[in-house]
Amino acid sequence: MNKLNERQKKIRNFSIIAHIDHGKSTLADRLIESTGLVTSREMKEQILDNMDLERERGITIKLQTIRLVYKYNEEEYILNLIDTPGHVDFNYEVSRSLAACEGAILVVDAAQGVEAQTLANVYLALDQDLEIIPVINKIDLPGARPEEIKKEIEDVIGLDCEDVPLISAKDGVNIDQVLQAIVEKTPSPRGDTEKNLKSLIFDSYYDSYKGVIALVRVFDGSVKKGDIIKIMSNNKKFEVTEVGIMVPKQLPVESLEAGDVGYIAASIKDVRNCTVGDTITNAENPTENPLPGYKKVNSMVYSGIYPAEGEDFNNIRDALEKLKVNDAALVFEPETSAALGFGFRCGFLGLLHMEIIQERLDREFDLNIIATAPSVIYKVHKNNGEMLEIQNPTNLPPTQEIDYMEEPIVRADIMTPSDYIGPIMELCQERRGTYEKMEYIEENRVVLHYKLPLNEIIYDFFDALKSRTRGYASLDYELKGYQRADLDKLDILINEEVVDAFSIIVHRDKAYERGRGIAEKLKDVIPRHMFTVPIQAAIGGKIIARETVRALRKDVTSKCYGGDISRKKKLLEKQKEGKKKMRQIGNVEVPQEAFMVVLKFDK
Amino acid sequence: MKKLGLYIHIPFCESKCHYCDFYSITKSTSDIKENYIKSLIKELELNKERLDEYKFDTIFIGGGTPSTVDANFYENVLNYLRNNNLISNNAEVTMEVNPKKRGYDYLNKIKEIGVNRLSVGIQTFDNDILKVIGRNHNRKEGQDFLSKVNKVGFQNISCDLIFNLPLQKYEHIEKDIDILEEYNLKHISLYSLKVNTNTIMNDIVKEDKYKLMDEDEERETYYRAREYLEKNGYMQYEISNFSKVGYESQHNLKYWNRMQYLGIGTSAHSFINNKRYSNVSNVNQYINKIMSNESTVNFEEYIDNEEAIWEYLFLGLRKIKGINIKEFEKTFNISFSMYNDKVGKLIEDKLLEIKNNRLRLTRKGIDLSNHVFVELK
Repeated sequence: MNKLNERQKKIRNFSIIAHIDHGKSTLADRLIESTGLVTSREMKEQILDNMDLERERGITIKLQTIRLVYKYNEEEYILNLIDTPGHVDFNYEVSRSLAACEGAILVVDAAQGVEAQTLANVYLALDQDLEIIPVINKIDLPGARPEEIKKEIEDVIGLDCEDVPLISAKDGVNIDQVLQAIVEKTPSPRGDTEKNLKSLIFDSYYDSYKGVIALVRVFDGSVKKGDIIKIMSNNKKFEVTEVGIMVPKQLPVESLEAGDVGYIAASIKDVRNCTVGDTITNAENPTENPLPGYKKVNSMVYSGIYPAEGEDFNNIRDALEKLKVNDAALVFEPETSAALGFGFRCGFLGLLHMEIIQERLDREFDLNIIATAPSVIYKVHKNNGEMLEIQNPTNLPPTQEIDYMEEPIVRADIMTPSDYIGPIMELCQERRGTYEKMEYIEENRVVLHYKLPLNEIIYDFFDALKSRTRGYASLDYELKGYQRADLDKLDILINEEVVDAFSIIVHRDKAYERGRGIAEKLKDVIPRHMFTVPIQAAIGGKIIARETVRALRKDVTSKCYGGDISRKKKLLEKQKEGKKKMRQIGNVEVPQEAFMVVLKFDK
Repeated sequence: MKKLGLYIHIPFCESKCHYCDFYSITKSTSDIKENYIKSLIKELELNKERLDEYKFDTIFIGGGTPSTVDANFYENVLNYLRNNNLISNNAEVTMEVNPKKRGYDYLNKIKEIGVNRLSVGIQTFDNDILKVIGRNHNRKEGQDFLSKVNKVGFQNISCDLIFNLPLQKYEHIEKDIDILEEYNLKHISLYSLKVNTNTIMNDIVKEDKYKLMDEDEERETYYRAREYLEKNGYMQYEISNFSKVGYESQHNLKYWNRMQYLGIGTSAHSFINNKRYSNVSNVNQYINKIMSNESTVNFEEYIDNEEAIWEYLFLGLRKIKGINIKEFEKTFNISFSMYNDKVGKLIEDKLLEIKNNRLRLTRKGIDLSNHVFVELK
């Protein structure tokens, strides 16, 4: 027993939490470098963020975990760094990562200070009773104001900042202070190796050779190759083929014991059998109670994904299947649209998750897709007492059958310099927000609390917020529940035909404005045809807006210069190519970008 | 002997017109021009073997502004062709001329060396418009020149007119046509202005200094001008071309009939033995290549059967009388019924029509001809 405690005394399990862009990944890089595990030459910038997309957006989506070895007072300590995804869509995943730790480094930008996500992450860490170690980063910036930020952290979060490390992760300044603080302040893990296995899955991904790799934190007991394990939410049993640690590649070890962080491979075929937050125990000697906090992830945002002209439906299915293998949160099923043909209805955790999937289909699979306007889940109460959950506007029952509808509401915290309170309030009001309260966190900065319908957030709310505050405001939100609302299905008719892919569910007060906005924008992107093309917006058969694409009167080349037929042909071929990329809806050729029009609506 | 068209490109201009986006040089010495003409003759020389079985029945000296080059240079070219027995007896020999600078001497000389058709770049007679579009002549110079052309005795005269120019109304066009009537014109090309990027005209229009006609007015002008031309005996035989009976441009018909032609000089295009190719456009590069016996070709494409069929259709349909369906079937040894779907749809849309076993554009089809050509591919 004493011996085990000796082992655990040398382990520190920690995460890094930060607002986006405050330098989490850069700090992780420096920690890895400084512990000598990876040489500078091998060091790929921001080693933890391994998807291109993540690197571009500066956010971590898929978790990585890494074991570092750090010498402190002549003794070697094992530091398990558990990365957390840095976006509000992935709050649940963040909370599970934090649950695997005893401490968290809170990175705060020396110029920007505490932001909405900083706070949100701090609350998540406090929920898990973590020791929070504040670190002020980017002291190299000209606008750095570490003393003020110290005070802000003390005032806003209530953390003692007397000996807070002032660092520049970019330049590698004072990184050692961070490592020392981790060893000194993070409690070592507890847990009894003699007890039955109890381990938390905080991430999982599919490896084509070993099956699902479950990244776990062992709380009690131990696990080794040959053990039969059980996934507690579904009682599925598997034989362990390998256990190991991440350095950051997989390195097999004899066993994982209480306090350790590592991976378990057990020839598990489906990542859905092994999802984040679940508990793994030993099948023969199971623990009595699973770890608390397991949640099945639910999609909050839905969108249709269809092959663009010339793209194969099957290719999209194959790509979605491949993405699904590593993404337990992605759901999809085939659906058919009158306008777009065969495609898929996909469910996502949130907007960012949706964008990431759509971009990965484009970049990693080189697929040409059309995504329809995102939708949330509405609760439709029918006159006959039946309640339907509808996320595809097309499936909405006729108005006369509907008693009332409910829509999802989120609680949004918007942190902003006080200069932008006006524009933000205006934006929230436009988006049907209900003001709750405003808190001053320092003289010039406030947090605005609003209740907002989720369906107002999914249409370019982030972009609108950023553009109205010059990027200074930050947003955090969580689902609060459902609320009754006057909602209508807005249809768009092109050449007198309803185009289902354009239908959206909107609030009655917004219907006119949105209908007109969409019709106006479609007018600009739909090319002129040989006939007049009316574009109409309608609610329940009543036309509320109309635009007209005038008939094309002239498409003729006056002069064929001196026998240069090749040039003439090239121009005609280009015209033909342009047409091929169009979607044929009835008699009308609609370009891909038309489907983007309904996604944006900020002026 | 097989027949062949010859296009001779002259890339020199006095000044650049504001709507022109073609490669031409405005500052050139007579040395360059002389070397250029020598190169033209050498290019013919280099083609000598392949020309063995051909005779040119149309020759078109175009540009640029061919009349900026001395007539005796052309004499050398035409003499070369004659001495090598390369010209048919009653070949149509056209030259593009600009009203500026040239007078009786020049006109007499080119008539004497065998030019029998003139294409005069009038564009418009309105002085204000001429100024805005950067032409270097005025109305009076244009009219004086045409009367000299008459006096010298040219019988086959063509003029270019442009419509949809800044400041221009339909009435201007009608007046232009009236003036041309005084000079016994046989052929008029009526082009609608196309504003190309990288032209001064593009800047002028963008700056909103001058507004061009809107689409409705532009088409209306075209219809009325067409009507007025026909009233005056100029029959439309191609989208932009009108002529008195029997005076269609034989050379340009070669393009629309997919006949063969050789192009010499910079950026000249050729179509021989199912191959289309063109020369480099830079004058010095062209001269250097010719002088060092290098190939001047910078682009070539082989036309396969499918492509040839499409070319036949979209070029042939530029002619008002369209294409002869029997001839089409014979040329490609296919049945026209293959095109039932495509053509049927276009007939249904009233863009094409079949009359007397000929397929042709309707009037609406002319306005939307690019659409028709694209659909036929």
